Amino acid sequence: MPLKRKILELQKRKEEILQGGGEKAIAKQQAMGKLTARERVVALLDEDSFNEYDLFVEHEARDFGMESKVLHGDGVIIGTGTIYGAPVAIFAQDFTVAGGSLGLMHARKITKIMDYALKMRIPLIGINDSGGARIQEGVNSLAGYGEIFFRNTLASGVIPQISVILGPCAGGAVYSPALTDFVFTVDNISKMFITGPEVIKTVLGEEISMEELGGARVHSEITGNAHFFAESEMECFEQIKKLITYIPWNNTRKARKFEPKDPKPEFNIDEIVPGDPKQPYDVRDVIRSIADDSDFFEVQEYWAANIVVGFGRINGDTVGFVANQPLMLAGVLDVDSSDKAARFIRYCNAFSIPLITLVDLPGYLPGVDQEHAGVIRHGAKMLYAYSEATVPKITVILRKAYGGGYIAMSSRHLRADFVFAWPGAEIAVMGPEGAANIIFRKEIMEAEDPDKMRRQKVKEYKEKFANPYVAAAKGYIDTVIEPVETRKLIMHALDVSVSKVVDKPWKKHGIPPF
Amino acid sequence: MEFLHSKNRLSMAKESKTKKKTPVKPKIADHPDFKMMVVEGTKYRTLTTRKNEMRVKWEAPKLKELKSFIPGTIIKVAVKEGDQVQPGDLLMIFEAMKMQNKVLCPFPGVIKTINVKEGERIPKGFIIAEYE
Repeated sequence: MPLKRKILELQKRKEEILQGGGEKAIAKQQAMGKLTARERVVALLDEDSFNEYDLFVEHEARDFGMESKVLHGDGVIIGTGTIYGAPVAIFAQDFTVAGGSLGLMHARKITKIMDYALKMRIPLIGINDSGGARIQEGVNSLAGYGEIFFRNTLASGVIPQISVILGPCAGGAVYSPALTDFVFTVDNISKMFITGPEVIKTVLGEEISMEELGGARVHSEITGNAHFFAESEMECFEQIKKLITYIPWNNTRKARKFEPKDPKPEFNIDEIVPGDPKQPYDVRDVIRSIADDSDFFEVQEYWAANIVVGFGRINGDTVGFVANQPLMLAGVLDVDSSDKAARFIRYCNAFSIPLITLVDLPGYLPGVDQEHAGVIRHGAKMLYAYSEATVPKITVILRKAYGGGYIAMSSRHLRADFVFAWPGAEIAVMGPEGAANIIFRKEIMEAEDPDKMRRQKVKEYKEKFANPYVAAAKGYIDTVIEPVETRKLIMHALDVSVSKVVDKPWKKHGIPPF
Repeated sequence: MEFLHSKNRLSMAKESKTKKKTPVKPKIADHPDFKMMVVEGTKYRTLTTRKNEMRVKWEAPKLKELKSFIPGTIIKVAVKEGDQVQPGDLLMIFEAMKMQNKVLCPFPGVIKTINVKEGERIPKGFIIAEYE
């Protein structure tokens, strides 16, 4: 009998804690259009797979009247579960409990699950919804953040780390998501910034709403801090689940293999890329005409859209695609697109995901703002990332590959394993117009009809150099292929690269141009 | 010139699209959202990012203008209009980010105008004073 009573007591205790911040706070959370922390965890994980730990943790704050306050679970839920059968560790801040504020025990719960994820080598998902540091706990809160940041860095490149911003995430707190691999945001719910609108107003006199300052759209389109944008929390959870299917549990495993599927017939690879190198098209259609089931899962779709990065599968195995997007800014490389691609390349390399690069770019974006924003340093990130990557690297030159852009886009010279070019490829030091103007400057200037002479010289240059055969003659590209052969050749290239070994000099780590 | 030219071509493309209708498959670049961009001497039709559209055109700095590079408050003005100043002279004390900064004179000259009063809050890029 006594045991039964004890079980009843346990149930009673649990029931009370599971109410979080109580009815009023939950109603407030719902009024903001947000799910509660527990609802989120349940919605994200496989049914009945969630196991919660540290439910009974209590805070230890003794100042400012905190000693008499009960904060259920200290405002955060931690546990483990599965997503499509893959194990994950998860924490979810509970805004209904003291605004999800981070105190000492709150932070300890988070670091505990982080340590667990790292030890078990399983992905970590963090749902952020917090007002920030719990001021009453003073420097203990800061210590908590620091401990989280340290673990984010330690786990980086070992286990996948996913941050989900489902509420405010402000001040120092926002640096944890920034240190993780993927940041998910939801329109009208996610808010990320270092200093909020009120501080900006009092100090600088600039008036701006939270949404305009650091909403999901801002971070998905302008800052690049977010990787995924969703209209609703449920859509966001679907995106996370989908991502989990593409990535391995840790850096020693391979991503799950799926049943190979042919691309869908509506993506006809012969009809996507126009012959005229000045005509735009959507390079994602080329990816869809190559990938299994025409399925392409794009990362950072809205930021720096002049380069496209994301995951797909070839023959059932995950690959990372990097492709210039002629639809946007003519597909140039610039500060943001270099940054975006470099990071994605490093992610794929860290988690043994082969890289497939599709090249069609006119060069670098001209402009004072670009030069002054440090396009040299940022552009160098791409060279660094590709050179450093040891996963299988397959490059397909679809059309233009001019100048520095040609080198940067996984060229042979940065140790691409296979470089294929389509017959329409133009591999040259610069576009025909620019090159002719320089090489034949004198002839053009001295001609009776300079415009006619220029056109003639551009034509000459095009015929001689705007093709893949000059580069093929030097062995810089391995072969010129018909578009329809692309998928078959990529499959073959992946097959022969499975046991790839690269010898590199010993180093602690390199010094990439951060 | 080039800009006008490209604009004409875009609107022409639009007209021909509406007149002819079906037989020719319209090029996606004929859509009015597409803009002309020049890279290495070649013109491309392309969409453009919000960030690229928001960029501020660069202007050469005017040496005779003393501008605030950070928002803040003028604590003290140490010179008046018409004063002859030498490098290193204190012009004003400017508080920004909880720090009282001494604004010193960078090169010799005469103060033409002072556009601030003591205690005034100014935004970034505000022309505080002009030299002659």
